[in-house]
Amino acid sequence: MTRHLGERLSALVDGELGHAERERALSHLAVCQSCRFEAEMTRSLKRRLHGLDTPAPSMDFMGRLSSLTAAADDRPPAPPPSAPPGAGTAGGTRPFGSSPPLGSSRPIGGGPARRAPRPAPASADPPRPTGPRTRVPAERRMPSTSVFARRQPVWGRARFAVAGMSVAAVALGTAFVAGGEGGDAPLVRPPLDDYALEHAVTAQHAPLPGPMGLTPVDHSGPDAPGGGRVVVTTTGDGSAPDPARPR
Amino acid sequence: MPDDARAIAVLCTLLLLLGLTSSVHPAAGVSGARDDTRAVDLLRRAVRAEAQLGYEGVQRLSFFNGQRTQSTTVEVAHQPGYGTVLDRPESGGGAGGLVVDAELPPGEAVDSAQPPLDLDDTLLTLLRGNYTIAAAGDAVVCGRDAGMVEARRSDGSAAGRFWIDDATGLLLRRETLDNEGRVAQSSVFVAIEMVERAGDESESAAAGPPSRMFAGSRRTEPWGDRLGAADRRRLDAAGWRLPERLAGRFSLVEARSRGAGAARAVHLTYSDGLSMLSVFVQPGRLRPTGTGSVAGLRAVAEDGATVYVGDAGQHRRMWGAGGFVYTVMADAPAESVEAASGSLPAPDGTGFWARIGRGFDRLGSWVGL
Repeated sequence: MTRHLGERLSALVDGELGHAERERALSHLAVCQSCRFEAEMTRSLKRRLHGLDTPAPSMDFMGRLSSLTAAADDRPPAPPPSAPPGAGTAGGTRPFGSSPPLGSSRPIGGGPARRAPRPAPASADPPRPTGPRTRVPAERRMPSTSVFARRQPVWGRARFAVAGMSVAAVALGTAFVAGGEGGDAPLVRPPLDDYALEHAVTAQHAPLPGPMGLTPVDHSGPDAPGGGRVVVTTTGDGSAPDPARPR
Repeated sequence: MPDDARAIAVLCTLLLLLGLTSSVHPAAGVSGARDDTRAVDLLRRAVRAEAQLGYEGVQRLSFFNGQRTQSTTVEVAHQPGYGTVLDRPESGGGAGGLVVDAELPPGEAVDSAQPPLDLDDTLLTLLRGNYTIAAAGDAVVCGRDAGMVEARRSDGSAAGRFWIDDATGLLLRRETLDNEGRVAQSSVFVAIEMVERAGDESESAAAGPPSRMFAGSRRTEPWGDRLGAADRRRLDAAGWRLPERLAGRFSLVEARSRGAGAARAVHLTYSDGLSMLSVFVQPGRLRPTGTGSVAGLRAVAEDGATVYVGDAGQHRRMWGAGGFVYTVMADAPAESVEAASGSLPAPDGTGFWARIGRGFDRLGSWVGL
């Protein structure tokens, strides 16, 4: 039985083994359950770490926006990414072990891509695997850090606009909810007869009482004496009062 | 220097014009500055007579609702310190009249020199502050000689007229006129008889009502809880809208309430010195019918909102706004009622932006803006 893969396992997952070394490692994995389990765990960990790199699509989008802006400004298109050849294939389909080395992706926030120091390849084979790749058009590639930094104010303004729109939407939504008709206020039916009586009583208290309303006031409640319907005034079509004649 | 002299002359002229303008503007607060002393004395005498004289009579009431005049006749009996009873002649009397102006139970002594609500000074001050009081000659009303007093607007047009009995000082007739000079409301005695009082005022009150009209009548008093300024501030903090002033020169002269909690209702009485306007506020909302009628009031659409109005007689308007229902009742010219109603919260609209605006209003009120 051959030796366990050890550090070569990490290089295998990172796609940094040469062809021959890679074939040997894969052969070992076929017979060594321990190394297979470790390789699976390393791959899972790498996948999770890549999952943290969610801003990458947004960076790509911003890169395209920058390219469009640059075209509109009659400037030369953004230079290709400064990463070494093969590093700009984000989004392409890769065979097992052919994804970029762990740590080579851009940090969250769009910082410059860095390559973690790695030990030298164990063989003289080319450092990159030769699996099938999806070629990304130049205008869709990530812009260089310098171009992105030059376009940072654009994104800043857009961010403020988005924030403002969000605040406005929240304010309108809150006002819409608060502006419901009466909210939980109960349905009421104002007692107009009681109100008319109260108004008549108060108006008659005036020092120079005027004519009270001509609308009938019914206060024939259960405690009304004699049960009679008592009316302050009533409507009619009579003529206006005769004017006072001069003395 | 001729230029300096000219500038000083122009400045003096402007200052003089400014002074004249402010002296005649009704909002300048120069209450009664140009009032006729005799006219004011007549009004004061009428107030005293109402508090001291007993009488029985028949009054003719007239009301113009903006389209037609409606009139009716009522029997009136007044006993100082006891109350006033009003009844229709066709009821035959004794069928139960409405007694107002009664705050004490029968038999209790009262000081009739102090009107129950102490509105005299307030309303006379409002009348003199909003209008110019002037004597307008003499006339005969109900066979009695009377002096006429006019309340005039700043443009000189008459807003109200009073006919005051020469012999007793009693108010025999009064009119309220709208901006176009039409009589909006009027009351006039077509028959009147003074009731002699035996002994002093307290004995008269203790002896009970002299008129047959008081027999079997139901005593009615204003709502019991009077709201002071502190009470209104507390209610205002709780979301109630109880303005001190309304457009059309109406000022708050009294606030009362009844009930508590969700069942509470507030009665605000406003006056411009001539007319009385009542605003009833209660928490709740009206059933969103949009059409039809509620409590005898017809639904009409105004600016995308529903308002319920009375078609005849007393001015009545009712609407819901911000979780409260407002009911306005007034014996005043139509334009005054409309102007005053515009100072109260606008009816709840039904559209999207109306709801948004209502929401911002409520949010502002919640944070104290």
